[in-house]
Amino acid sequence: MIRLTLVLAAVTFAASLALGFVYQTAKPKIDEADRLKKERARMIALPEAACGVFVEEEGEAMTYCRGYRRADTTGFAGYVVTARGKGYSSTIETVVGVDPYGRIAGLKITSQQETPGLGTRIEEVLSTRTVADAIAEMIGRGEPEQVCVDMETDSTVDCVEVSLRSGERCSELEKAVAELDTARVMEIVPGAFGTSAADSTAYLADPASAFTLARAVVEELRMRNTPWFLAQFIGKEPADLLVRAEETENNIQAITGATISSVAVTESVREAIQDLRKEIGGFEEVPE
Amino acid sequence: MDWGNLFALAIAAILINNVVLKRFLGLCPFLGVSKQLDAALGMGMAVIFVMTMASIVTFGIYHHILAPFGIQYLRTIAFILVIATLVQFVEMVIEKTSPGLYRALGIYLPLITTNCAVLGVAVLNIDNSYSFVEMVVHGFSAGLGFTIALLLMAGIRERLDMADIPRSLKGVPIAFIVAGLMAMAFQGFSGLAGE
Amino acid sequence: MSLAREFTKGFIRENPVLRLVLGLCPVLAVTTSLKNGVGMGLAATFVLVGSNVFVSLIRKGVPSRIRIPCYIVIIASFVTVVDLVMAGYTPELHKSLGIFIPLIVVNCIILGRAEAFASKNTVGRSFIDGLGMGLGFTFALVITASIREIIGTGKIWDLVLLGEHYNPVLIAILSPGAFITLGLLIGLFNLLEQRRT
Repeated sequence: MIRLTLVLAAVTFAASLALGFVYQTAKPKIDEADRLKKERARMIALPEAACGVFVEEEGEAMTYCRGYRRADTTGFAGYVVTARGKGYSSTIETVVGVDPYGRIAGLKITSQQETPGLGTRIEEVLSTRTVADAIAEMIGRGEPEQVCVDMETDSTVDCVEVSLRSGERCSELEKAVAELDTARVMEIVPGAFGTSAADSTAYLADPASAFTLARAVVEELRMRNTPWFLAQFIGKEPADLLVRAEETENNIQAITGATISSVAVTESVREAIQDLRKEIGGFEEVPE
Repeated sequence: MDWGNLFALAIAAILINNVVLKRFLGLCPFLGVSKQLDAALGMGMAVIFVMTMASIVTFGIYHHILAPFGIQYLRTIAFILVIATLVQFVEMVIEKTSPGLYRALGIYLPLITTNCAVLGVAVLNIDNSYSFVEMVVHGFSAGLGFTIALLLMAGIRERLDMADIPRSLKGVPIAFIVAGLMAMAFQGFSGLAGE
Repeated sequence: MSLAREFTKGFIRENPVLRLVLGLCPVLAVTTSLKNGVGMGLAATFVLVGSNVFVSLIRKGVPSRIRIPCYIVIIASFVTVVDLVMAGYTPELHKSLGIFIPLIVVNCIILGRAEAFASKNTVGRSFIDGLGMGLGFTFALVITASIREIIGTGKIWDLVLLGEHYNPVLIAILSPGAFITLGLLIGLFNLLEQRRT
């Protein structure tokens, strides 16, 4: 009997040691993944502050972030709050960016365990990539990628025509954009944010242009990755958030078959912004 | 004590997020033991007991031993060893008190150890950050939901054996199709918890 | 049995899910998309191979009465390794699979193979058996997930297969669809087996 317990204890002890070792190696990776996820959510929620800095604030009733356009906390861009709502089968956590005038700047859902095919569609990006597209990319006839947004005119400008002829470079660019790795983007598409390769270095050195660059990458990220349900929230004020069967100017269209999830997100976002308004004492007036 | 919240939690665990038909936990015994009603009832009772006890013990171990020492990653090993020990204990008790039931349950009793439902519910208690009372209610209700699904299945399968089913569908396949229809029926409970 | 047959038996003739009817819980829960199915399959294969090898290594030294708890500890360790590695390197997949990663430890296939095969065979054969069974499990997951995802959403692994005008059959993605799809698949494999003999 004693011998049996000893053998089991020995095996358990050896296993725990091995696991402790694996844990030490894996923990930094896990923490890094969590940190990146949190930062990325904030950047998507408040793109204006994507290349600046987020400062956490402990309020009386809630915690929130202030976002600034530049690293020296100048150029106030807005607030970031976390909204929590009870969905169909889980708590849905949303990170909401609010501009200084109280309108929604962006949303990212950070945690949900809703029903696959129904509630999980609140995070779904409309996929337009068909099998034919995938095959065309593999054979190497992918379409040229254009990743430029002009900050002044806010329109898509013609980049240097770089035709990405192999599927590999397409996916590399996608990966670099997804990781907000502006240096890598510049490597793959030289002059992506300027008119010629020579200008890009000067572009990066000038802080205002660096902002344009980062902004463009984040916009690209948004264009590709904004779930269609959440895209309806952007620009609206809390009072306008209402779930409706058909979409009208000021209301939000619900996800078919997942009304509880849709309502949970809308209600929690509205509540979070109203709590924020109480906390900071009111938003600024929209300038004419 | 928020009774409303606890009641909603119980109803959710039994009907809405039924352990077998919605969360897909505990399927091996669900298919194996559900051929006769009395064996199913005995198995259900055993599972309710093991699940409640296991929930309490694993909850205690997690919050008082693993978490303070920062070794939460050892929870899988700790939980499964606790469950294995509990099942051994229940097996001894049943053997002494009711040999008939012990024979009827046969191989399925030690198999409660590998019952995804028990470990699954223990892990869910931690992941959903329940308080002590919520955890007990959840563990007990999940066991109850499992038993209800098991009994319903046993009642149907006793009659299914006499039906004329194509040879390739006999046994497990038709049981699954019946379970699918039951799951569809349980889907109707989904509006119950909304405000 | 020759090594080659050891490896291939796990795919059709002795497929752990579709013929031996083991390890069902994850099959129904994670097959809502092909990505999840493949992820779970590979994770389970890793645990199966690792635990088979270690159980085979210690099979002579462990007293018979304590063998099951020892096997369970070994399997649980490998599951924890998979859990930590996935949390660090594939956080999205880790989130989608949720509680079914720790539940790999109670996957009947793994304990079943450890008890029935690895404790009685050499390390080499146990490795091959684990690989074959694990990949057979993945194969079953892939078939089920593909069927459910294509019928239920019209897409497969981020590719749109059935176009805009397809009205997805949502029930395939929900729990009833899981049961019915798997039941019909097992019936199909039964039919194939009957035809063979």
